Parts: sequence; structure tokens; C-alpha cells
Amino acid sequence: MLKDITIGQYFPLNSVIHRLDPRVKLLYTFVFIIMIVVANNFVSLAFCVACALVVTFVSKVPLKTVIKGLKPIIFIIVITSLLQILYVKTGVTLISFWKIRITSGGILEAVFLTFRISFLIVMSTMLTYTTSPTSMTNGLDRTFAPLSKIGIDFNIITMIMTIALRFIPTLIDEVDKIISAQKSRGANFETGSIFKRAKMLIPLFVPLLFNATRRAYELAYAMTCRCYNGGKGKTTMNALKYKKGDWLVTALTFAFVAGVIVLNIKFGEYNAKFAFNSAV
Amino acid sequence: MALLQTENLSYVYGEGTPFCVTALDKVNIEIEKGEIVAVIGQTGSGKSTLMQLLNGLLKPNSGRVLLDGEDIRSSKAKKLETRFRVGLCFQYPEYQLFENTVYEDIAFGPKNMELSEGEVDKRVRDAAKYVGIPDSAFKTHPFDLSGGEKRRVAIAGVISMEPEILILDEPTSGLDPKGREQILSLIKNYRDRTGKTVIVVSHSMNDVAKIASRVIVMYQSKVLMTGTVDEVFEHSEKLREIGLAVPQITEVFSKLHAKGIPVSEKVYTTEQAFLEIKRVLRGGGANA
Amino acid sequence: MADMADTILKFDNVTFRYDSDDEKLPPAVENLSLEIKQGEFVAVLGHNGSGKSTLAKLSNGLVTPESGDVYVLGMNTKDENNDLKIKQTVGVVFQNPDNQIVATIVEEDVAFGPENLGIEPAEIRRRVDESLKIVGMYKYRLHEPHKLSGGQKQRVAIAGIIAMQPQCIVFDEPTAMLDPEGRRDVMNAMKRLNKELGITVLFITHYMEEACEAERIVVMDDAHLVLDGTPNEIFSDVNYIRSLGLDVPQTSELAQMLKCDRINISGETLSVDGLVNSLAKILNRG
Repeated sequence: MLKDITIGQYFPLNSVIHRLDPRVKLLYTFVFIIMIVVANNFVSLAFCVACALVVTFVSKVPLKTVIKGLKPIIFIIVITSLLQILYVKTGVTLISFWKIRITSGGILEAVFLTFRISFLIVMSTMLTYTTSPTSMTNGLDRTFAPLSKIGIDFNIITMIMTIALRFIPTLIDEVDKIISAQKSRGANFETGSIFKRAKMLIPLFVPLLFNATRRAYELAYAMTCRCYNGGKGKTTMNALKYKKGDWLVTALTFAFVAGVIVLNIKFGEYNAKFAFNSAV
Repeated sequence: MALLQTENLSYVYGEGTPFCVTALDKVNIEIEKGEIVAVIGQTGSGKSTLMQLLNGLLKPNSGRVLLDGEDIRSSKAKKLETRFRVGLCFQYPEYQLFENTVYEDIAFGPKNMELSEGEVDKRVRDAAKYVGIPDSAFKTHPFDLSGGEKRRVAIAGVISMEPEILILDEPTSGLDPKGREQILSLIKNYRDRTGKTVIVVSHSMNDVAKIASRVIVMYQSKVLMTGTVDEVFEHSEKLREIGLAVPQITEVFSKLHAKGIPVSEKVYTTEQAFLEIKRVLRGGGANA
Repeated sequence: MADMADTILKFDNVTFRYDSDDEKLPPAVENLSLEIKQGEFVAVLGHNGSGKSTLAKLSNGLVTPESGDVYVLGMNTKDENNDLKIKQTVGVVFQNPDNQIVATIVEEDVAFGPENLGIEPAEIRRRVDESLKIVGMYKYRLHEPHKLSGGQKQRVAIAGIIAMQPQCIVFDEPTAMLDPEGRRDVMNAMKRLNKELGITVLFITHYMEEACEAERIVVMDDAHLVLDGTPNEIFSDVNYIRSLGLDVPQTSELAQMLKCDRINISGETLSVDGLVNSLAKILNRG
């Protein structure tokens, strides 16, 4: 039931990728996303895909799981591909009937975009698969800590994230319990008209909100007792430190960026690159 | 034929995942009409799971629950009927209150049963009487009540459905002595006046000893022993071993017994203790 | 002055109500004076709503008195400049373990207090390990709190307070939501803190058997402090204790019944072993 939902999709394994510094993973995932968008021809794209596959392989996360992660965006991929096929009119005409003309350019562009979007998602999910929520929060906290110098307090945001992560399982248990209890009093959450079902949300949400508020008050007291003051002058026990692996990955990322740029220049812009814009 | 009965009832949480836990392992119990049965056990012994299986909230992995000798999952109608005939009041039930008035909250169950307005009203008033909530409190917002009062309103919310079997999961937890006393006496009163069956889940032998006619002890997903309060207390050493609290006075008498003083070990109230000491002082000797 | 140094917590004629503008609202604590000496193990008894939990919130400035003062090592809790020092000196452990654990990993939660105090990472690590060992939760240091039992969570919460190295810990009904095993573990942890680390313990509860383990018991009723003495003194008046809506240990109750019946029982009668010995004497005679 509710408990089966995994939050953050973390896949606990012990691989080189899992052990990397979360800041490194955050930054370089971002770099990869930029580069796969920058890649402007099939060779550059193939290079990005190959690199992504190597990362996946090294992370030990089963390929099946990674592909499953694409499920939610299949719809988007199909729609964009269709648009490309219908609107891009370059290259040789392959099929033509009624008002529709499908060209080789359209097909190529669709394939190009499918790979681009898929691997953009693959690498983003790799980040969540290999980084525990706690580690991710830590990474975000450290990455954005310098923002406090320009008046943006990221500490509070990471504190909120941590508390959310901490209380999600507790609240899920609570929802389960309230549902069971109200069912025992004859509440019917499963059948009936939409209106009836919407009404049944009251016995669920009123106690849930009330209890969450009560918890929040108690937590605030407990945090005050532990000298929390918004994170000013806070230190960290598990301070993040760059290790050898992180420097190696940094070097590899530079190589990767250079590779994409060289390939982009060498093989030139794929001629249907701007077709996407005209399609939208 | 027992009113409520289980046959080799088993339940596993998270079956098919690496985290699966057996919560209940081939449990056979029988509940007769009019009993107050105490089910005691540590947290994680399976007692709360058992209760949710008894009213059909959970579906057993194997085994059956029989109400009047008929499987409660045999048909959809039977399932619904069971939900109403076996009333389950969860631990900390006050955390499930939600209506704007005490009256409305107690009426939630009967309204779900689609009873007539008059019948709902009668049931709310009866239930409130059993738990000692005066009519004058009907318009109060439940959240404005004290902890003990909220608990009683929540219990009334289940009693108002007039279940033949009332199950209360840890009804006294978190309450102070006065609150505990009130809840226990209202349970006993309810049983005495209605003749209905009550099952009380607890980890405190202290509490249940005062009201239960029979005790079922659960340990590690199984029924460890069952019997009258007296019979179960004969094994007070065992109870302590499995992490259950035994009345202090029982401990005193076990130790006296161990010292070779001819006192009975089946002592769990101070009245019994007092009489037992007087008996021995009169030269009563060992009780056969 | 030497006497002042011995007192860690002092309530001086304290009155407090949750809404100070509402004159009709009865005070949660009224004209209460109490002194706790360093190293003491004091239990506070009272039924729900007697004001005992408010005492916990007053003890380290979570709330401040409407009239009167609370002093922690001579520092007035009303003085905001003392705030951090006071919170570091007097820690509070609350009833619901779920609502006081902040982090998603046990050891990170324990580190939360010292981190807020800006302590060096290596020192935090040392304190976290030590605190978890004291409460017997070291092997769970990398676990997720929500997967622990109630008693285990409560011990993690205690470790989180110990890691700030307080001189006094106030426990606000820490066992009320636990099962017998969890209660025993938490009791043992509290006793260790007091005996081995010399931490002053103020233990708020409504379980008589637990209160009896303290050296001194303070009883509250309707916002007032009504009794203050050793467990033996407190439970000598069985009827009065009962009139306050409190339980009496079965041992005291039995001793009282025997005395009323002119059965002469002498010696200690409060603890189980004490009563066993006292009873053995008269029964062997017979």
C-alpha cells in the first residue's frame, strides 16, 4: 500500500559512484545535462550515451531498474517524437499521404530527441539512485552554503528537507492508521460517487493535519532544547571531504566536456537542429 | 460453537520482499459470548495484527477467522457485517477524532451504518452514558476536551455502533492512574450492563487482572498460553522473562514462596495479599 | 555562596499560565518554590494537568514565569543573554520519542545539538559515539530512527541531549508511551546518567513504581507543590496520595492494610525486596 512508495528512489548499493561526494555528483549530473543538450550531431550524442552507459554500469544499478525509471516520461517522448516526425520537413520524403509528409529528416530528429531526453532522465535518476536522501541534503547544503553571503539562507531549506525526509515515514504510518481506524467505524474510502469519496477525506485529513501540527509544536520545543537557532555558526560532524575518486571523476568530466565539444566541431551541426524550434 | 474463532491464522507483512516479517503464525483462539478476554504481549508480539484480522481490516495470508462459524471473508456482505459486529478501537483513538462536536463524532459510525436519525440519536446518547460523557458536553469541540475525556469520546464512537464484540487496543496507554481506572471500570460496566463480549489488548497484567475473565498471552507471533487470570499468573516468572510487567505484589509473593514461606504464588491484588498473610499468620500453612 | 553553587535549578515563587492575558484561565503552575541540588535524582509526581509538564518547560526557559523567577546555576531564565548557556546546562527529554528526533540517521540526530553549538567535528564524533554507548544504542548508529522501537527511539533522544554535555536533564514522562521493556531500558539509562556521569535528573512521571526509584519525590496537584520528601515518607500516607488521583505502590498499600489490622510490620516496606524481608520476619515467627 502506501508504504511501498519509495521516496527519492534511492537504490542502496556499494559502488564507486555511490561513494562519491554528493556535491560532485550534483555538479557533474548538471554538467552532463548541459552537454547532452549541447551535443549537436549523432556522434556527439553517441559519445554522451556511451558515457552514461558506462556510469550506469559502474554504479551496479541494474539496467532494468534504470529503464523502469523512464516509464513516467514515455508519454512525453512519444508526443515529441510524433511532433518531430510530422513537422520536420527536411531530407528525403519517405511517405506522403493526405496532408501528411514524413521525411527522413523528421525520423532522424525524432530518434535524436528520444535519445537526448531519455539519457537526460537516465543520468538524473542515476543521481537519486546512487545518493541517499540524507547525503543529497548534505550535498545541497554544502553546495549552496556560499549563498548565505548574498543573504540567501540555504540552511533553513536543508533543515526543512531533512525534517520532511524524517517525518514522511511517520506520517505515512499515521495515514495508514487513521484509514484503518475510520474504516472500523464504517467509513468507506473505496467505493461511491466522487462527491461521497471527497467527503470521506475529511475524517482522514482533519486528524492528520491536527496531529501533524501537534508534532510540529513538540518538535519545535525539542529543537529549541537542542540549541537550534536557524543554523547560525553550525558545524557538521560528517563534514564532506573530497577524496581521490572525486578528483578522478572531475578529471574525467573535463575529458567528457572536451570530447563533446571536439566532436561537435569535427562533425558539424546536425542540419535539422533548429527544426525542433520551428515544430513548437 | 465459539462466537469468534481463528483457525491457523497467519499474517506476514511485506510478503515477497526481503523485509517480510511474520506477524502472526498459525494462531488458534476462541472467544465466547459475554467474556472479557485480555490479550497481552509485548510490542511486536502480533497482538495488534491479530485484532485487525479479527474485524477483517487485514487479510490473512493463510487460515481463517470464523464469526458464528462462518468465514468472515466468505462474501462481501459477510465482510461488511463483520466490520460492524466486531468493533475495533485503536490505540490512542483520540488522534482520530475529526468532527466539530462530540455528538457528531460519536454519531459517525452509526451514520455510516445508515441507521434512522432517531436510532442514531439513541445510540449516541447510550454510548455517551457508558463512557461517562454528559449530554452537556455534546456541543463541545472534541479538541477542547482533556486527554482522558477525548479517549472516552473516541471509545464511545465505537460503542455507538453497538458491536457484539468490542475490541480495545491498549485503551489505557498514556493515561494517568485516574484515567486508567476510569477506562477499566467503564469497560467492566459496559460488559456487565450489555452482556456483550469485550477483548482488551494490553501489555500490562496490572490493568487486565482487575477486569478480565480470561487471558491470552502472545509471544513472538504465537499464542504462548491461555487461561484464567489465576492460571496465567502461576507463570509469573515466565511472563517477566518475555518482557511483560507483572504486579509488584505478585513478585513479592513469588519471592516469599522461593524463601520457603508457605504462601500462595497466585496473588496479584493487595486484598488477596492481605488475606493470604492473615491466613498464614493464623497457621494456615500451605494451601493445597 | 557554597550553598548557591550546590543548587543547579531553583524555582522561586513561580506562577505561570499559558495565556497570560486571560485572567480567568487557571495558572498551570502557581506560587511554586523548589530547589534541586547538583547530582540529585528527583521524581515529580502528579496526575495529568497537575502542572508537572509545565515545570519541565519552565526549567530551561522554553517558557518563562509570569511572576517569580527560575534560576539555572544562578542564571535567570528570563535573561535572553543566558539562553544558549541555560539550554546547554539543562536538557529536556519529552514524552513522544517520534517528535524529538530530527535527522534521518541515528548518529546524525545525536550530533544535532553539538553541531548547533558549533563544536569541532572531531569532538562531535567523540561525543556522539560516547553518548550512544551510554544509552546502549551504539550499534544502531547508522539505522533510520523510524525503524526503531519506541524505547530505542527514546534512548536516541536521550543520547542527543547527553551529547550537549548538560549538567541536568529533565525527563518529561519519557516512559508514558513505552511498553514494559522500553520503560525498563529508559529507566536504566536515566539511573546510569545520574550515578556514573553525575548528571542531575528531574524525572516527571505518573508511574509510582518508577518514582520510587528516585531519592526524592516531589508531588504536584492543581498547579501547586503539595509534598516533598523521600519515597518512604511520601508513600507513608497512602490515603492522601490516593486522594490526589495517584496510584500507591502495592507494597505500601499492603503495609498500610497490615498496620491498620494491627499486624506489626517493621522495617522497609516500599521496595519489593524490603517488603519481602519485612514480611518474612513476621511470617517465619508465625
